[in-house]
Amino acid sequence: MNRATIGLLVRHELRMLLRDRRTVVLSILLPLVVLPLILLGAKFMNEWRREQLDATTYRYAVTGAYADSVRALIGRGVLLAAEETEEGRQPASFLEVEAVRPDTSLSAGDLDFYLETLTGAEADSLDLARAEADTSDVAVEGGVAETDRADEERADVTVADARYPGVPVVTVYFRANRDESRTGSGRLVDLLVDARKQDRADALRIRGFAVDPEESIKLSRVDVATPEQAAGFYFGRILPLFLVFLTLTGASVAAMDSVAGEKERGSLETLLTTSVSRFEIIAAKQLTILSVALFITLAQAGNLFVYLALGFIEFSGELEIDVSPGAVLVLLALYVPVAVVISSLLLLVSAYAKTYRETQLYLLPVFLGLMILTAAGLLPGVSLRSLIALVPVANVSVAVREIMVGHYDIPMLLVTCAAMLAAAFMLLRLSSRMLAMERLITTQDTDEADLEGGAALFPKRVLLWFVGMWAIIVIAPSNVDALTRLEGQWAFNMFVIFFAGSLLMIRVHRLDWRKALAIRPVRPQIWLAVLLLVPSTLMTGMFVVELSSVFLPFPEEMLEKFASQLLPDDFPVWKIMLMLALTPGVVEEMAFRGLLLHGLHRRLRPLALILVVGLIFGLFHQALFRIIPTAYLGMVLTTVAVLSGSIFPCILLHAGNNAFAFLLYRYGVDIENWPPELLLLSVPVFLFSIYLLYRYRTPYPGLLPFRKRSPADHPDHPGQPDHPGHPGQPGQPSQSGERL
Amino acid sequence: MTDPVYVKDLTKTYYDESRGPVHAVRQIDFDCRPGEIFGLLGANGAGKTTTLRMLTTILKPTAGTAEIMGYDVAEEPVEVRRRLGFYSATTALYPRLSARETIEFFARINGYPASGTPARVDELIERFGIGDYARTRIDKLSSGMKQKVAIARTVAHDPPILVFDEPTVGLDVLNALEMQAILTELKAQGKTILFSTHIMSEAEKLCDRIAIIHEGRILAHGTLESLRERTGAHYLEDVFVSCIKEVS
Repeated sequence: MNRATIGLLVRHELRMLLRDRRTVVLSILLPLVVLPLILLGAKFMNEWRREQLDATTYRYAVTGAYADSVRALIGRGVLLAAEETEEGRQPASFLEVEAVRPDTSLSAGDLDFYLETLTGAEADSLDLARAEADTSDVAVEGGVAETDRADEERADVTVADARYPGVPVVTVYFRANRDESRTGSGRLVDLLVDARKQDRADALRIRGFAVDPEESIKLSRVDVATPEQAAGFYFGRILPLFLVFLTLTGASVAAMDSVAGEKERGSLETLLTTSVSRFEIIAAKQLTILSVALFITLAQAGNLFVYLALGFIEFSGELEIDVSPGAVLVLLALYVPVAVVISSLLLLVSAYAKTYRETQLYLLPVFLGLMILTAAGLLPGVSLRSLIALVPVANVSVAVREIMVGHYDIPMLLVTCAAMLAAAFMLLRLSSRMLAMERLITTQDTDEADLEGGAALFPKRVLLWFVGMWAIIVIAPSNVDALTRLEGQWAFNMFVIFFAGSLLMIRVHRLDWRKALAIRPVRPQIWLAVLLLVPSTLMTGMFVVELSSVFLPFPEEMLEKFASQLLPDDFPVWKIMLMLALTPGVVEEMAFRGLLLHGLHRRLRPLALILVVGLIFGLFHQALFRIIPTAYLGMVLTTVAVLSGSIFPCILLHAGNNAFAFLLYRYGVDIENWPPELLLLSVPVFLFSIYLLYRYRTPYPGLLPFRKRSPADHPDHPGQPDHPGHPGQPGQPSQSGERL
Repeated sequence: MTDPVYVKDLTKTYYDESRGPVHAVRQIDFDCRPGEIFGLLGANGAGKTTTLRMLTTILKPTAGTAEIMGYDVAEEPVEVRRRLGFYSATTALYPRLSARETIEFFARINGYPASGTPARVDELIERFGIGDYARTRIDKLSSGMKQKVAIARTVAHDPPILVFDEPTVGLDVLNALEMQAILTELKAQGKTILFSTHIMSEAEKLCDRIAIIHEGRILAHGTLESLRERTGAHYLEDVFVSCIKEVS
């Protein structure tokens, strides 16, 4: 490696970057001004909102036989609140208005909230009726409850069980989707709680209890940490997040242009024909990205400190930061490897992407992943003296937290630095290899596919389609009430997401639907294999569940609750079979073993294909504890598709597996309690089924070879006959398939 | 003495997502002698660019060997690149550098001595008539001007071998003629030139020896006279068609 050459390249890269006026203005200068402005704006918005809410007079109504007592309680609460309101703030102002139908008035916005009251006798008889119906799910804390009328079905406030007989009940109805309603009802409940506390103290005093009940035990809490330590603890947790965010934004400016931009302009090929080695090119680009990242991070951090010092941005006055120069040096020594890893990672992304736009697409998951790793410092109880010291970025995050409270674990800090440098070096080597990967060097391939559009573009877009589908499945239920119910969710996922989504992909990319959905006949022996796979997949899956529970243990009650939600006892068998076996078997297979497999089958070798398609299938079963078992099922289904080349056996296996699992559950057969020998018996059956599939295989057409071919394997190699055509042509068996 | 360019059984097969294995170049042999212009003549998609990309170490051969001044392209790519200059329509310039900065950068990056670089840059600016726009940024230049700067950057480090991939594609008649004149001048300076084209008249006019390449295979190679003798045709166009008919 020639240092002079690298220096020359770095100067060249920086010159090119600085001459790009648009990048300099938008990515460097503008954030310097905009970031503090955003913080300043947020502060003003917050204050303005608080003032607005303080100035608001909340309109409410009180109903029920106990209304007068509640009005008196509110009156006492208002007086108490007036005494205790912070200086500079106004006490909340409430106005009672008449409302014949308070629920309608609340919906219409004529009321901000209303209180429904019940005398003790009324509440007792209601409780009795509820106990009989066993439907009570209303929480009242000491007689005062809040209920969100915006979504009564999901109202999570409520427990009436703690009520003593004869105690009256007040329920406050509000709408969480309206600022005034939420804030006003909250303030009124606080006020009622204070007044009730005062009433209780008065009642006890009258009955001869001399001491204030709140003071029956003198309780105090003393923080023996110095203000510097407290501040260090606070800053130690947010500092890594802050620095990583700034470094990411700074480094991405240079990274996006550095390789992907050069590919797009065609200058990378020019550079690759010079006498500079690929590793020198990567090293120079890495140094450039690192320099830009460090400059932007320091400039942004300095900029924020200036705004803090000038008082434009306020921080809690109790925080006193006192970091010794030695600690600053250690922090810097830890920050530099973080910046190196981040710049190397972004360089890798840029080297992998073929275009600028593609780089932008990959950056979001990289940003999220890095921020999640950095959040390790927020986890309570995680110490650097653990395996976390080997996890890049997360280790530094934990180390910074420890250093900021004055704890220096020198051996583990050295391990942290070594792990970071090893990660950076590996990323650089990978980036260098990317420049040797021919399909990534030129943009020709992408351009052809772009021009051709349709089917040629599908392999490049299929993952985007599935990311979109996954995002909709995750987001939609929290925004549409109907999708929180089992039937709604089932109909939406099956018919809108998977069925309509699959048809849309076929239509947009002009795919041959028979090929895309793997509509092909199979040999009769395959059906036997699939029938054996139905029970054996479920039983072998139990081992996977056991294994996954070691890493992700979930409480038994949670699993039972999930099962009862998914398989309600009041649903007839035919309905469950339709919803959980037949439709997923057909529709999910169309999406996963149909389109997803079709899109990826020429991009991944068979083993990777099975793993990736299976894992994506698992990720669509959002509950964390379901991901691993369903990913296992997905991998088995993909293996069946790869070996049989057809979707039909997958449909039978998927539907059969779900039906079998449900029937066991419905008829109380707990497979987990089966003797291990019985479960172990499933392993040879499972392996025999896979053998049958392999023995009578009709492989998925056009698969890549199982492993990378050496030139000696190649048909063009001297001494071997030429093979006309290639795998994947219609009507021609796949060479790779035969190898399978 | 070793020939500046020596190619034996050179093969390139790559896998395309939608087309499967593509045999771009199949066991080709040829060599270029010192100071000659050797032409690779073939239709679009014949394998010319893939061959030249392997010789310039951008692509790695699947099989066979290729040597530049005795250095193997797969084993010693940096030594190979030190000794050649590569010009093609796909090798773009840096838009935010001036013409002078471009030539200077490529001379230095290819190992031309720092002390001699300013004089070398001045020499090239004068030889290619770039003086009027030497300090103008590349993105402000016309395509003809860019072409001259691109050739100047190709020869900036004074390599003994020059590879030109379809150098006249996209040029108007005058610029194409100027390019041909430059190639002749470079040959007169003793450079070995390997160039590809699909334009028969260009090959006929410039090349000392020609290789006819079709579907990744070299069908025939030699001087124009020897090719005429072999096929019995006079015009290169007819020679080319005759060679293709022989194998189809």
